[in-house]
Amino acid sequence: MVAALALCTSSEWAAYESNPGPETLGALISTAEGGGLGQEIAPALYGLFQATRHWKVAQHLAQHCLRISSLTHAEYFAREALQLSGDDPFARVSVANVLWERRLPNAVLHETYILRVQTRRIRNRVTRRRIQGEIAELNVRALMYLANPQLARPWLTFLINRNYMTLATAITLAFGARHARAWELVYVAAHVLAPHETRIGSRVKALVKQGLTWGLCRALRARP
Amino acid sequence: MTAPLDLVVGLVVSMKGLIARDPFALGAFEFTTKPDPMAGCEVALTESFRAHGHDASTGLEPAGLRIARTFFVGVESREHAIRSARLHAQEALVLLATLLPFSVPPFRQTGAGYVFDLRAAQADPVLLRERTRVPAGVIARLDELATHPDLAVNTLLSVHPDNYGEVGSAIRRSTHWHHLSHEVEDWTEAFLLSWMAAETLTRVTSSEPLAGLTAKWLAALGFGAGRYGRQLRESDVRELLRIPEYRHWSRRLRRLFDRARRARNAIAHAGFRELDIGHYLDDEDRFLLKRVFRLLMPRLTRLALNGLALGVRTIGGMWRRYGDCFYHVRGVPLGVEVRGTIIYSLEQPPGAWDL
Repeated sequence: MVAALALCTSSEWAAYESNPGPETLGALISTAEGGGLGQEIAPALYGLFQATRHWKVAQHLAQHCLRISSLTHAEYFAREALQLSGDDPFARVSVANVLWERRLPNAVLHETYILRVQTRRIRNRVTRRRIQGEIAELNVRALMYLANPQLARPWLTFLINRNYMTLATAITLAFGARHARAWELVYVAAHVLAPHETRIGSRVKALVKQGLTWGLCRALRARP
Repeated sequence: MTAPLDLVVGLVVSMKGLIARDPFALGAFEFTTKPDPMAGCEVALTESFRAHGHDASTGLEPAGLRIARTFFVGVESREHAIRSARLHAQEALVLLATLLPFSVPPFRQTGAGYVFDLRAAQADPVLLRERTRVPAGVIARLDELATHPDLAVNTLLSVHPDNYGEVGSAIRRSTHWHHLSHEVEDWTEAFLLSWMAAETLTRVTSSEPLAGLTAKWLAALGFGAGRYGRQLRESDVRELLRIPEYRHWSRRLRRLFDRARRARNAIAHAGFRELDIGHYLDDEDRFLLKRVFRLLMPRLTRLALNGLALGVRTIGGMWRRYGDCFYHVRGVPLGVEVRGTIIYSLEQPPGAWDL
């Protein structure tokens, strides 16, 4: 099946096939989407996964399915990757991401709890920080989706100290914080979202404006 | 024994009146209008649409349709996966529609869908509903002579219901519920309706205990004991006792009816559905009960029609004269029927028709 796809004749595919990794996958996806072959990515990766049963291919397939919003396939392949990898933390991050997209916050928190235990055993500092970052993002999303700023605060502090937060997390933070009337957190989210005005919808824009206004009022009140 | 399957099942559901993010998840399902990324799924879905008489050219979204998609790991057959997906999707749709703050047009399944085999990389359309898969043939009717069932039906329906008393109207009521039991999707509904159909022709008084029905149903199937056994011919009793599996099936059916009675109470009084009934009846019990009712209903109806022909007007009278009604215009010897039809049918392994 793989050989029948036009994408599988490209050099990027050959590179990915010999060494499945984030770099080769990135090159493959940009080539496919640039050449109008985006819909061949999933069947091609699936064919390769069937042939090799390589957990990284399953993991990439899960991530790709998540990107194209095919949650059922994403969850299946993420779980396959987790099983085949023998409980790799990155595979578990993929599972947690799918669960988040399915809006199952308690299941996400369960997965991140396991990830926190797993992270303690990771010796490589860079890898450990990456996983911790993923855990913090997922926890903030899940907890703010449940409008629970008290529990989300330590994870949020981690993200603020890291000086990086994804737009999806910031949006969930903004809505959850507004619901919980935690305006200082809306203000934090607004700061992240404001520079991306062209990439956010009108409801989010209105919320960003509210958050920034709240920050301005607080600053004015604090003036001597 | 077939190898376990990993399947993605996509069912097309109508969700008019609901605007939500695409995809959104509900329980185990993803509801989406986006095409399946795997090769062949869209073709299978189009084929399924065509088979169900829908027009797929306009797309899902304008018609208020979505695909409810989920996956099964290690499932034993495609049919089991589709059935489970249907029942769980129905549960999710009904729960959502019930809990929404405003009423919306009913969310329902269209019947169309597809199945993608994750191990074989093959997509297949969901064609027709599995419940219609009952053995079906062609019957030629000759009317030079009065024949069954024409004469019985014409006689019954051409007069006022009171003319044939309690038995006549009980046959009419029973066939109504028996017919409905073929129409419903959920197994427990079908079971409850079959139970009602059988009980209509069995229960003499409203205070008669449900346990009393068991003896009558066993008698209708040819496993008569006690007062019903005494009305059987001695030659037939000897023939029955020579069947090696007779006692085993007699005991087994008695136990099955007892379990079925508890399950029936759980369904009728506590609202148990096919999804939850496993607590009372396992898969084997369910498939056996389905077969038992398929064998029992025509025999009960025949018993009642024979009763009418003998001038019996009450259900109580029919069961008091069980022997007369049982042997009236009987062609096949009892031993042959019990061994060759009843026990043989019950001993066959489960197949697709048992779903």
